[in-house]
Amino acid sequence: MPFVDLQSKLGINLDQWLLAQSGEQPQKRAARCHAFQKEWIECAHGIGQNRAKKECNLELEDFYECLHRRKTQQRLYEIRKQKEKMIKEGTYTPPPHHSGNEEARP
Amino acid sequence: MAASKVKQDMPPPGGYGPVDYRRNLPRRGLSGYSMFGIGVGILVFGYWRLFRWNRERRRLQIEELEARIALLPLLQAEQDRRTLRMLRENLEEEAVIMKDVPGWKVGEKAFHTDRWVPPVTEELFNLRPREEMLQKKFGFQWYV
Repeated sequence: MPFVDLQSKLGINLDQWLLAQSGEQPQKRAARCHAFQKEWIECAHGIGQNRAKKECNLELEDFYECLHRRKTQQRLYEIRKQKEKMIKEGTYTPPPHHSGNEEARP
Repeated sequence: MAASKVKQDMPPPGGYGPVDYRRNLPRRGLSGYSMFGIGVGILVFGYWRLFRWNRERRRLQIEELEARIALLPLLQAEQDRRTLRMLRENLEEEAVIMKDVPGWKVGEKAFHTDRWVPPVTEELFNLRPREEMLQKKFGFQWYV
């Protein structure tokens, strides 16, 4: 029922356990983005959607980044492209630990 | 022509001896029930042996897991050192590679928070040959 938190009122937990990553997990293994989701939920809870979109933007962005890693991937892609360009020009040779000859260490 | 003595195959004088013509189906061996019981007994014995050995295997498996638990701090420390070393090398290489690119901040983090975010495999293995990343991601298939 909307606007009525029936499960908290009755004190039962029928399906809340499968709703958020930050909920209780089997074997107590935390999700990868547990912290980000928890922060976002704590920031955005109870203040309405319009206010949450304005005030909790940073947390939401971090959570999104943790889930999809868009910015990380974009950054890594640009580094790789620049590296290949430099290798083609001949201005850069990758060091041994980046070309498969890493010395074995424990 | 009784006068001509032709050599024929005749029965011996006095005839043949008595011929045993009766059915010979002796009742011998175990009954069906006991054969069934023996089969079931062998099965049950096999199951008992299996369960005993499985319990023993479970005890051995628990011992192996406990050995792993005892070694976990060492393994975790090694893994952490390896991660940090790879991140450091990536940072230094990034400084070398991107020095001519305008507007590039070396070591810029993708998150607004100051927390330590464990790096993803792609991030660690970005500048290495692709096989190493694939080996890290998909090399370990199953335990035994």
